[in-house]
Amino acid sequence: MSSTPQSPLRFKTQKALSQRLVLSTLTGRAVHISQIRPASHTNPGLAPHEISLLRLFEAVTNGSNIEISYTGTTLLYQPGLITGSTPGAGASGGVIRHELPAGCTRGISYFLLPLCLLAPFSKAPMNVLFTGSGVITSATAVGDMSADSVRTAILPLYANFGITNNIELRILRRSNAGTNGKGGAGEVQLVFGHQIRLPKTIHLLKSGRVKKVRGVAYCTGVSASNNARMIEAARGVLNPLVGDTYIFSDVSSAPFLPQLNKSDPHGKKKIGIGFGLSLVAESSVGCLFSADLASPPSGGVTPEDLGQHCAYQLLETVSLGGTVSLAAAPTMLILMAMGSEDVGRLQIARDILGTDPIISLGRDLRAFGASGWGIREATDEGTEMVVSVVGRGVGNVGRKIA
Amino acid sequence: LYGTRNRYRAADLARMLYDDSLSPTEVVRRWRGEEEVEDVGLDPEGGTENNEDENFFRKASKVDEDDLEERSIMKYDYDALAQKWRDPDTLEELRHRFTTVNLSEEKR
Repeated sequence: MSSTPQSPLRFKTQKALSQRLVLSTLTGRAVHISQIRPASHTNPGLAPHEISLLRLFEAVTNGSNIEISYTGTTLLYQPGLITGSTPGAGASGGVIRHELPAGCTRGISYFLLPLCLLAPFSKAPMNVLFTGSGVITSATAVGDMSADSVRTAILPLYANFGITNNIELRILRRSNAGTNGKGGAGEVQLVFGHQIRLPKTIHLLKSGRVKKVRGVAYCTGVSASNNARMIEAARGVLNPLVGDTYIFSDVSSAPFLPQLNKSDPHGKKKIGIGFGLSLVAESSVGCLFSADLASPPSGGVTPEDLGQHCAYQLLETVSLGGTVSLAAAPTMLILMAMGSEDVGRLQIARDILGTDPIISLGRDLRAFGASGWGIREATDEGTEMVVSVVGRGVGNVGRKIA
Repeated sequence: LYGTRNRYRAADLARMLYDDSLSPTEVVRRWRGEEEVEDVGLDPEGGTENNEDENFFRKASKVDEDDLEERSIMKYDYDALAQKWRDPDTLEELRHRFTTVNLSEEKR
């Protein structure tokens, strides 16, 4: 960080908001984001989940400053130092409790993925308990992966960068998305106790072959037979290709929440009923590909269909190739960019590299001062590309000072 | 012939990646060698002529708003996926990505 105050970087629209906030916090550069849903008549400005994310960032940092305009369409975020769960700064007993409001429509992975990116660069270990009537641990229709996939397909990726110890994601209570996709009342705790100066430079050029598939079938508040039906359907698709398929089954009752209702003030209501499936394929060299699908809040999907569709999604992800899936690519590329000033290489499928979010990420990284990506073909067929990323060498500001 | 020659070239993407005159969506489309889509084609109402009045009073499209939200899982058309992966030939093509592939037979 330079000592002279820099003017905030200016962005428009809510696009990649969480990613930009992460980059801002990691690089210590303030951001000014305008035109956040200006045309929406019903919900202009920042959405509940985005406000919650800002609150979370505020809780794990020291000295952050957030200014939101009256309409919520403009945001100024000045990041502080990433302190993690240091006692005295909002954490009690080393745990930060973060409550999500009932109106939250995004799955918990929307919060977990950015938080995991901040955690290695924190001053103290990160220990955050997500609770409240807005925690959806399942996959959602708006494109979030389930908490299970974060645990089995994203957290292991950090080992590539030398971040291995004391990382745990506990799913304490499950929940699917509630009515209209809002709220869930699950409970999730993230413990991220490995803080480093700089992530290691990686060279991931071999994807290997898929040798096994693991998965979790979960159902909350519905019959356990749904799990068995999902698993059977998914296995039916995968068995001809992988012999080693094992899908765990997790059955839990739905969270029981007090319902504020005039006619019945002591009434309670079950929310977050549904089922879903998370599948992770692991290759012989440890690359992970994940697929996620959960029953929509409106219902009307049979577990058989869901299991099959999830398996098809997994096949599609595997067929793209590369060493990372689309869900994991931003995490990998951001960590590479934050590494030491050395060239790291990552083989990535061209259909993942050539997507809107990844191209935007490349541009955002450059805007935050990272160097540009080098791109070359990996093979003669050209279905896979090698992205070379030079690290920024900023690393952990908090640990330098401490 | 046109379009197949220059598709997916790494050099093209490297050149367009940081060209701020193109939006990320445009970069993707050009890199994939897809035909330029005219504005009329993108019109959700579909098939309107280049009538200035109609263009002027066009509603802000709702689709764009959805595209701005972050997703970690792509939107899939599951019927199309099912059709694709029910085909035994596609499955066999994918087999080389799995350890169950028979390498000795492949070489023959």
